Amino acid sequence: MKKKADEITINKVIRRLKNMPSIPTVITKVSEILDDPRSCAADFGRVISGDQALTAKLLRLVNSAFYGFPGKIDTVSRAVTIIGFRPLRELVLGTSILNMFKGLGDNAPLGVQDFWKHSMVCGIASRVFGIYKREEVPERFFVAGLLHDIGRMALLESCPEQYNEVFAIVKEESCLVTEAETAVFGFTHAEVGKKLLLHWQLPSSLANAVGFHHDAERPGRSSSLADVIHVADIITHASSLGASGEQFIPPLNPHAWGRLGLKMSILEPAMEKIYEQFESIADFMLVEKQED
Amino acid sequence: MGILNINDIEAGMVLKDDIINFQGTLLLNAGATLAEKHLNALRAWGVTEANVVDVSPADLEEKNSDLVDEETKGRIERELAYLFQKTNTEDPLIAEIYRLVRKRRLRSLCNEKESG
Repeated sequence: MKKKADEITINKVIRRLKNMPSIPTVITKVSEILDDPRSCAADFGRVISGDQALTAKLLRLVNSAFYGFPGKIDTVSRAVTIIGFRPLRELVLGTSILNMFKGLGDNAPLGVQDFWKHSMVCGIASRVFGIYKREEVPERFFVAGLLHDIGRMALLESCPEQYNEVFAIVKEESCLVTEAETAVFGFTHAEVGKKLLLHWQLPSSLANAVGFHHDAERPGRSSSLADVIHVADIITHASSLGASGEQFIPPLNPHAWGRLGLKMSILEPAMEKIYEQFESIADFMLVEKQED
Repeated sequence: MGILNINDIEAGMVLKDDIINFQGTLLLNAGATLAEKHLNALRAWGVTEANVVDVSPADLEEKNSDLVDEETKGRIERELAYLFQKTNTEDPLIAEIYRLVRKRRLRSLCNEKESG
């Protein structure tokens, strides 16, 4: 494999994303509320209610098997009381980013619905592992899983021709997409994803986890977030729900699983939860094709 | 005997070992015969596995596997071998994921047969 298109850099990829809207103002507003000690659940509710589609999605999400609460939560401020500020902010972030990608990837050789299905399953799986690890805000893991392959969307959108070359190499040599990306661009979707998230001024813990989800073994770069999405990605590929463009399960770094300190026996109930939650939230969380 | 996943444990099975929860509290004694209400309680406590007398995980695999014909089983094996070719199937985690995915595929075929 010889390296081509060497004039393309990660920064160029990101600059070329003209269609990519900037991070929604609702996230900035939500963060301001969180940082203000005087704010209350009703303030949060007011900001979110400005966006009806977002409100509807959030309420469906908190009423789904994702949480499995017995009663019905019918207002955002009620959701804040029950679920908490920080988890809800993460859900707002995840839901808004999914919406940003409406209409993107239409010219991609990879079905955009399948791509988001893969991302959604990885998000769900990451959160399930976060819960088993008794993490304080497992929704952080949901967002990280949801965004782990966002760099591939960015590459497909800004360099469609070169990306066709990537798929051609994969077909010809039966190699991993990540290997073909390195051959064509000199970097992978993981690195693009990291840069993009930093460009959006999202937390560096999130950006790093996305950046290293394929090589969690690099010393000093592991975090439980990176380890979780590494393992969640493998399980997502094994589940065959959706598609990331990668036709094989990516190689496992056994240390990542070891570091999580989870028992092997949680895997079966975890996978059942993943399938169950995916079925209950996929239909309303997935991005519909933009209607003109 | 063997350690079974909570979902594979049925009422009537007998416990080989005590079951304690994550706080160290004894939930059920070794020798207890499990009833449906016990299984619900164990699930509620987040117990994921238990050691039972007379049934091994291999027995259960066979039970599911017997319902599907050899040709279909071969097809499932080939599809999975393709999917798993770039990862290390000797690794215990990957081996477990492989087992679970295979089990799920077999089970969904069995369910299809039963319902139609």
